[in-house]
Amino acid sequence: MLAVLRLGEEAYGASVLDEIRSRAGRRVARGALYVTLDRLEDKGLIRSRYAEGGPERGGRPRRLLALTPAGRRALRDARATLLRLWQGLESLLERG
Amino acid sequence: MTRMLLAFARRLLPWGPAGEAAIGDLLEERARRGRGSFWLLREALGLCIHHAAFRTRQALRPAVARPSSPRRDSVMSLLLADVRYAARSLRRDPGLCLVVLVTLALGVGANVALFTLVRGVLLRPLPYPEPDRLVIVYENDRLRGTSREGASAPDYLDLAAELRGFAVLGAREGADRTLGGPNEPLRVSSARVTTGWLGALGVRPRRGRLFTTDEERPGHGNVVLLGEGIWRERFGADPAVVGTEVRLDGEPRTVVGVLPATAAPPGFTERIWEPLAFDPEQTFRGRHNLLLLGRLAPGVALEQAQAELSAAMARLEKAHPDDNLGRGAWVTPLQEEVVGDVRTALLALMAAVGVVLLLACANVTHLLLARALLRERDLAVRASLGASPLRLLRLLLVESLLLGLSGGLLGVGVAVLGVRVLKAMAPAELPRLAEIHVDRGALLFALAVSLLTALVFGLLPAARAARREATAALRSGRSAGPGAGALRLRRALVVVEMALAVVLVVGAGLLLRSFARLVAVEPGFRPEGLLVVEMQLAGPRWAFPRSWPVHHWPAFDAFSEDLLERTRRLPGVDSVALAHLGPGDSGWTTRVTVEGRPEVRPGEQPEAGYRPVGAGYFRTLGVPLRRGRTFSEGDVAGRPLVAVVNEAFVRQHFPAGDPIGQRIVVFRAPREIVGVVGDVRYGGRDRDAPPVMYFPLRQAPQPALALVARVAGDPLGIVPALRREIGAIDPELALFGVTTASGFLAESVSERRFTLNLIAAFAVVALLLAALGVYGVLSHLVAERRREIGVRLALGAPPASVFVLVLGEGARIALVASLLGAVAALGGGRVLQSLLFGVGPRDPLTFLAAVPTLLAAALLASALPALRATRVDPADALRSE
Repeated sequence: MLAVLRLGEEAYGASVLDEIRSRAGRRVARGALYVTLDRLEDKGLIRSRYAEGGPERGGRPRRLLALTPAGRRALRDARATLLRLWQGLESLLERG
Repeated sequence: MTRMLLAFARRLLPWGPAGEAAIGDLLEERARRGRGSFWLLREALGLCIHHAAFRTRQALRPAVARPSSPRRDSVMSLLLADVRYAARSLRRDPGLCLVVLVTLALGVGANVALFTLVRGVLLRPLPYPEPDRLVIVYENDRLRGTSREGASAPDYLDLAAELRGFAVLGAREGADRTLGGPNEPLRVSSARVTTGWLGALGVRPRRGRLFTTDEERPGHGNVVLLGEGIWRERFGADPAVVGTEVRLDGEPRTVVGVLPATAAPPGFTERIWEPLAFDPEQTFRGRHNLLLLGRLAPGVALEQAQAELSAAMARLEKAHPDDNLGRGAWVTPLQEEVVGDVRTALLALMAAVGVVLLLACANVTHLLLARALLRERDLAVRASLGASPLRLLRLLLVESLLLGLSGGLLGVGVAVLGVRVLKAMAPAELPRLAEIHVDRGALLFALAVSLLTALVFGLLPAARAARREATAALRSGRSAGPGAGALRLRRALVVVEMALAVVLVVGAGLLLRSFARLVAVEPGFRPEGLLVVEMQLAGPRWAFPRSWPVHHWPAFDAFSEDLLERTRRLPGVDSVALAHLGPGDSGWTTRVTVEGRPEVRPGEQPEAGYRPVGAGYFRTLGVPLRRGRTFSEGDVAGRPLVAVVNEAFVRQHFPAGDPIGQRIVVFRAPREIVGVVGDVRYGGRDRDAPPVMYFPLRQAPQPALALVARVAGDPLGIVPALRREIGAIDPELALFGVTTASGFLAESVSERRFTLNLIAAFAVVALLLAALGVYGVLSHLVAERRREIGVRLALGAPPASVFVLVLGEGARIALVASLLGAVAALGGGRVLQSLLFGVGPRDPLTFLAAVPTLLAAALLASALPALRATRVDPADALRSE
């Protein structure tokens, strides 16, 4: 979802996969990505629409992804939670 | 190559545009990074697996097991893996499992319970060495058309001396004795037997010895063998009983041995044995009082023995035409005699319970088919991952075997309970009932039945699943319903189920109508409040006169007056009478001639029932007087000999004229007919009343007596007082056969009641299972045609029409099934023929009643799916495609 958020208008299967791979620095199974995307869509956290694909795609459509308001809310909540959990811990980490 | 691969991947990803987009992503990435075909292949496959795994997990409850690598696993571990997997996937579906297990447990349990009964009664060999060589020899009479007659003593002696095909031939005559002793005198059933009887059976004494041939001589037979039961009850299993003295009918007898409980063949009730001695003066060929039992010589077939026996009887017929004219003899295995006429009933029950099991199987097949449809994609994934069709087949079979065996295990529990219920329900006449319990044989049967059931219900879905191509399954869209082929299959299955149910319903209906007819038959007397008590005048005090025929027995006259007087004084007794035989006793017959009629050839004389009865017998029983008078206190010895006959006798001998004043000759003594009474069905309500002659008891006294009393309130209530009164007359007299007329009438139909109850229960279960099947199929149908129904509703069809549509489907199934079932029942009804009474096996009323019953069940079962169909939301149904 972060990748979708970051990529904005350019978020679709291949770009999201690349984004995750480069940012997280680890391999993500292609199938797992699509499955996850499907599940997120089923939960109403993202939505997708289909755009024309170019010749490099063999004419196949691109599935463009975007966050739904609920998705944004979920990300915000997750971030807030994470931050709350981290509060005052950085210094402790530095010391160790 | 690439194109093919992509096409293949596309077929595995039924994802709509999302799948297209995913493949587009693949191609784009490949182009950007310059990857080769191998990369594409790897990625595409990974994509498919992930997707299929996810979809399967989501769509199906059972999870996909981690695919194991088959090449390294042994067969056993594969099998174990299958079992584990099957157990896991079944556990995920507890509702289905519960329904399947309960259905199977009931089906298997009922079958095992009934099999146990059938095996115990019909199939288990008798507890004797080489039991198949034991045969009963009956005489028959061609002139009278009787087939199960005893042999006379001279016939027996001749046959025993002559026949080579028999290793041993023994004779038996039943008798009842009063066993005296320290406690209350006990009436016991005794068998007077020749040494050959016990010898043929191969009985070994538990204590002491058997009879010697010396004890078979007249005057030397004052010895007795005790059965194990009596030995334990009366003598506390005292090993020192051998050599002691007991009193039988007041006479001293020496106990020479104790016999095991099996010494009385099933169906025989003797508890003590006495030697059977033939006094040449007392035996004659016309008295057929002996039952013959033989052991065939080694290597002799039944047919050979029969041929030799027939030849011997033909010689006897020629040598003694006066007594043996028309008499032959036939052999039949003891086993078949023991089983007797319960065979048909038990086999009919077994067939019925088999049908129930078939229905249970069919229903489980329904459930598993539905489940298999849901799992087709799961299986397809496995197939696409390289599982062979055989492996898939095995997987499904393991699953159904697991279900089947668990169901069977539960079924054994049900069977143990069921056998208990059956034994409690079963009529007492059912032979060898006490020996019946669920044993290893029954467990093996349960195992076989459950394995078979598992195969039957597992194979169909498994075969279907294995046949279907993986790709086809994977391709079918996510919202696609179960296949139409499966629906056809299920519909055919449910038609068969319903047809089977029709057969059972018709069978139960026929039995029910027979039973109702039978119970409605008037017995010929009023059974309400009627007490019947049997007793035997035995012992030196009641010495029976040795002359023949006996018309006067002073000791009896005194006893009879004393007993009747004492009984009349008991509270609640309205009327009382003595008779030779009670109304529940079919009695015996003797030759009769009407005086003045032309002489009949010996052997062709008609016979009629012989029943000496005391004054007041007809009044006490409520038998109506039709003409003339009944017996009075004045009809005693010394007065003119008289007789009363029943209407059947009049129909046979005086079809036109008036019998009153005519004379009949019985036992060489002429008697005047003074009255005609109504018919009593002594032979049972399922038979016509036989011609009967009644004589005054005091002109034909008998040591065997039945006291009949009409009592206000509970007839059995006066029994203790009656016992005291009889004890006051003679403490050595034992009462036995204490019963009420209502009691023995009910008992006389107990076997029919048993069969009827069971078949009716099976029919209800069958109907229920079949209705469940209809419900399942119509639910399936409604799911399948959701879209069509949605369209109809959207186009303005009233919900009622949709309701009728589904209901009509149920009715169609029921009608086709009724037709099939009726045809099958027409054929199957013949099995029941001998169990029917007053209705034919093609009784149209029963058949006509079965169809609406079935239709009602089917419509009831269709109502719920039909209702659900009317609630289909058209928009929803259309959108979901």
